[in-house]
Amino acid sequence: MNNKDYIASGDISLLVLGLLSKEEENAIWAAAKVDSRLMQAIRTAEDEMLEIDTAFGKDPAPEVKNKLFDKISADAPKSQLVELNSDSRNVIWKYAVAASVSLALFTSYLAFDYYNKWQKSSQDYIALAQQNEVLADNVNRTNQALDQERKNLQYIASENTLAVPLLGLPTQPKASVQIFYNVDQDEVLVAINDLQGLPSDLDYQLWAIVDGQPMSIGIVAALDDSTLQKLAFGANASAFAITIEPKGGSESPTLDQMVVYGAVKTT
Amino acid sequence: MKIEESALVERLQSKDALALNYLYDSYSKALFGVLLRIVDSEEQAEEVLQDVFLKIWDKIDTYDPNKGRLYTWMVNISRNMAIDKLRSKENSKQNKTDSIDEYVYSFDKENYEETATDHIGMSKVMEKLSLDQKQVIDLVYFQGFTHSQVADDYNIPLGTVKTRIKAAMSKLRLILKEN
Repeated sequence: MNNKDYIASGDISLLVLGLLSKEEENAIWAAAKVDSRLMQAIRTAEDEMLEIDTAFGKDPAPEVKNKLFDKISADAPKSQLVELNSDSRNVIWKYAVAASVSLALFTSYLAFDYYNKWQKSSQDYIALAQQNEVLADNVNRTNQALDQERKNLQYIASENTLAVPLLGLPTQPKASVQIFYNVDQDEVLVAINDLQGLPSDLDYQLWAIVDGQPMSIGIVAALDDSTLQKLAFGANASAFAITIEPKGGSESPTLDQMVVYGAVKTT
Repeated sequence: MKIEESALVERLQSKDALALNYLYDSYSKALFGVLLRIVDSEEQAEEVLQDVFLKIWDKIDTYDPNKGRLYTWMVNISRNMAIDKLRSKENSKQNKTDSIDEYVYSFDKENYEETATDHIGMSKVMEKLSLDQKQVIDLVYFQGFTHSQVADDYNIPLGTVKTRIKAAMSKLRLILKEN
């Protein structure tokens, strides 16, 4: 039968399914050896059989794999004793080879075992690496906070900065706020020394007195953790005051809710 | 991690258990599916699957890479071991053992749903084949009969059996590709 017939006749399917006799198989392989088109057709049929089987396949239960590999490692040392001439002069050689083969098998099992352990430790490593990232993050944030503190210090120490203490009024006698007023930049740095906490529907609002009129600088949080709050308001202030306003602030200050006041001393 | 076939065979021959591990992960699904279609129960299929891999492990030296691919060799081992298992058992489906004289061909959807339930509706795919093709595929590919047995028992010329198998396989592949 010539090669064209093999391809057309469906013998390739039978070959791949193992349904041909030994003689028929040998004949096709011999032909395929010299005919690359035939060989290619056979390979294609094989690939497609694998595709079909995989698509219609089913994963066996995990225990099947475990039992299989238990058996493999249990049988390992025995199965590969090489048969040698039982010439008495070779007896020691025979044992040496058997021993080295056993060792090779044992180490191959160890490699398998080690691979499993490696997998686990590489997972551990990933977990540690992630922890590291979190720590690095924290260090970063701390550095950024430090930077901010340095900037604040520079600002305060600058010759353009006036310190304006705001002292408590009868509404809150113990209240005390320090304003660092940068005349050049028209900015203030607010340091809260003592301000009572407020319910959530009220806010402290900071005002600058400019040309005799109150101008809102912004809402000030009654934080006591020495965080300086920077606010810009772009005008020349002669005094500063803080009042209690409804949450979000007001357009004009509620004068009987003033808690601190301080005038800017320019000399 | 894709291992080239010749490297894989070499490592199997040197009894590298990792290579067998890779082989199992890559092909157990396909082979298990093949077994499920031949033997009577999932338990039997599991037993045969283990035997198949043990045989591959033992007899890897007999694999000739100049002929078929590794998977082809493995699936032929699988089919043969499954058929042996089937024929060595006395069970109610007696008609599968020696000849197919008592085998009544009936394309029964339920047969296919039982075995590979989680996957592409086999019955839907098989429906797209012609009746002749379905019969021949069912008997040869899934039940483990040889084409000559089918030809003899159903009085179909051998050549016809072969061409129907070929046509059916082509159609199955096409259907799979469409999905």
